[in-house]
Amino acid sequence: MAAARGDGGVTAVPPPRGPARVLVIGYGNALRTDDGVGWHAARLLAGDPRLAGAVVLACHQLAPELALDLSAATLVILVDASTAAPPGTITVRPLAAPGASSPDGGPDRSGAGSAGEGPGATSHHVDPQLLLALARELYGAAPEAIEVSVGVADMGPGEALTPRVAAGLPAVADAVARLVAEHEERAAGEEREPA
Amino acid sequence: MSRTIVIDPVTRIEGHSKITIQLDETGEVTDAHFHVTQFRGFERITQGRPVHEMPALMARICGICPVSHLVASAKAVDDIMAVEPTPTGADLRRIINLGQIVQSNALSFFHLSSPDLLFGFDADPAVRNIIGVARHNPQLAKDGIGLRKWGQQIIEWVAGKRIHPEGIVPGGVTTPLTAEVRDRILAGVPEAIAAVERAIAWYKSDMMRWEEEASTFGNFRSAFMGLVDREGNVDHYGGWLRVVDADGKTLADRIDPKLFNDYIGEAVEPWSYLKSTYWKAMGYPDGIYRVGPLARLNVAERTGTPRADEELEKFRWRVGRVAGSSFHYHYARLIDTLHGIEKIEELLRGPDILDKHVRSFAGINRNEGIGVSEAPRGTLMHHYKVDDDGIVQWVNLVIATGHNNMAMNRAVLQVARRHVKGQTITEPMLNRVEAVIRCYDPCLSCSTHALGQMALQIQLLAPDGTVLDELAR
Repeated sequence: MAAARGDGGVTAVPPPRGPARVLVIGYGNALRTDDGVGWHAARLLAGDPRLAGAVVLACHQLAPELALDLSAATLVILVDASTAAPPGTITVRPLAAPGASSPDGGPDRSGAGSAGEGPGATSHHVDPQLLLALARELYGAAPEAIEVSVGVADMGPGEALTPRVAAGLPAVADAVARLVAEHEERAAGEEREPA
Repeated sequence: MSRTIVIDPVTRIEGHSKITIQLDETGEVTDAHFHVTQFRGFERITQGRPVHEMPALMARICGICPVSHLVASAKAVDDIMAVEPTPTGADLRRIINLGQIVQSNALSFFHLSSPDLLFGFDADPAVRNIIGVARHNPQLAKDGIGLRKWGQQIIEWVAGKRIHPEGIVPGGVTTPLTAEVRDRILAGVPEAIAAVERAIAWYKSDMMRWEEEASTFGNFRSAFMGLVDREGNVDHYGGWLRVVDADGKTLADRIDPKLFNDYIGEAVEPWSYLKSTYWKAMGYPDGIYRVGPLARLNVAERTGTPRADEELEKFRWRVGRVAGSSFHYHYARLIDTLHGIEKIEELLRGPDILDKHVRSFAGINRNEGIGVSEAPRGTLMHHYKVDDDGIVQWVNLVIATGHNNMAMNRAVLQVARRHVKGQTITEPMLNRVEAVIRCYDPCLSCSTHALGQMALQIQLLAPDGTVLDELAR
């Protein structure tokens, strides 16, 4: 399932099969009010019995070494703040590494992130697409990837979430748990299929 | 017609900045500046807080090198408490600090600088990035990820978590080391050494092609400063300050780091939020000096660990006893990393590393404290004043990137004069100007110790400084 070639071309990597291995990364700055919603969500999910067996990481920011963790997963869920939606709104969308097909088989329309295209992918701005691209290029891994964005109200200095965003955390957990359950069901179904 | 070229933001460094390049009517570079466009304010917002909170607060300055601030801050509070950590507590702090040195240096070399070194400054930016490295030299990219992960794991396992860990406290550390964690870290040492030695071998095999570039890449005479131990070895945690000039002559040695204010001044320029430090004996702006991996190797006799010292000997054979070109920060950073890994192993194999006594306790015994250590980017100073109840009254932070501020500006001007010419501005020219900044691996989040959103501003300046046009977001 090697993805990288020395001529810089990329071979399409089929999605992984086998038992579900789920990675949830909630990230954000917990000292900047709602920017930390992903971090808070991860802390909540770490003790959620519906995610038993999943690896849940609460991160300040995405960093290149997370590509290693991604490469071991069949499903990656990234939880982050969004300023593009009303506070407390939850948006779920699939992600694909640039150059890959989108989950519906068409061209990648995820639209976000440069994943290294253009002048310099910065460590200070590692985005999900870059991690997916690194996981593909270096480890031949192409996990299913989903972004769960939470609309935020305030990103100023502060250690607590704003009330509406805080009240929405259980719904974020429910959304993530649902995604995990669906993935595990699909993985179990694929395992039962005859070879 | 004279023009000002603006590169904003500078990519692939920590934090945000702007570079302005001033051209005259003939298209020649007359001046260039590296502007730090962030304002932060930790020195102000921590006033009024109990001093025991300072390490945890100061770690929030940065998400890339929080441990550096933890160590220097804890040492400053140790000073206020008039305590010394237990030997084991100090060694555990050293291990955590070195874990950060390894991961931060790995980030700088493998992720920020290797695209330029692998593809060249003239390469298409669509290729000259970390994904390009992953495609064309996957081992190099994997080694960077592996080193960073190992360094982060050390911080997590010994200090509690990878970013903003809470395990370093006034008086020592919170938790003794277990044999299980010690052995887990030691198990990663061989691969960590192999990874950095592969990178050194790759770098050395190719470095001759950079010889001409290095000669004008921030290559100028300056002093260098770093911490050394009593044998003159590199010391990332304690020791004395040593300063040498461009020829290796000692300007100052065996300086108690707590007396740094007697030797180092700080200047403020209107075009940057980053303060410029200078060597007082030479005045401002002549008292330019550099810190960081290159400076550490220039000031020390040896690193003190065998593999790194072997590489240091080869380094000096290739670039001289005191390397002057900023380009050699890359090579020095790799040797610094190798030394860090070896030192971690040495400390973990110490007979008392599992001792349970890891923290000293005391109250407020002085109204002023200073803590100094070597961060990945260079010497870091935290200086606090407190009242008798231990409430912070005054804070001054002298950050590694601040020590290098004048040097970075000098480097930008030199590179701009060499590569920015005429009426045609090319992306490779601009990338070289950015790349010379990356040699210093500046952390602008640290150096302006800020919090909150950072505005970016682009200004087009006439030769007389009049703002012709302005854009802000």
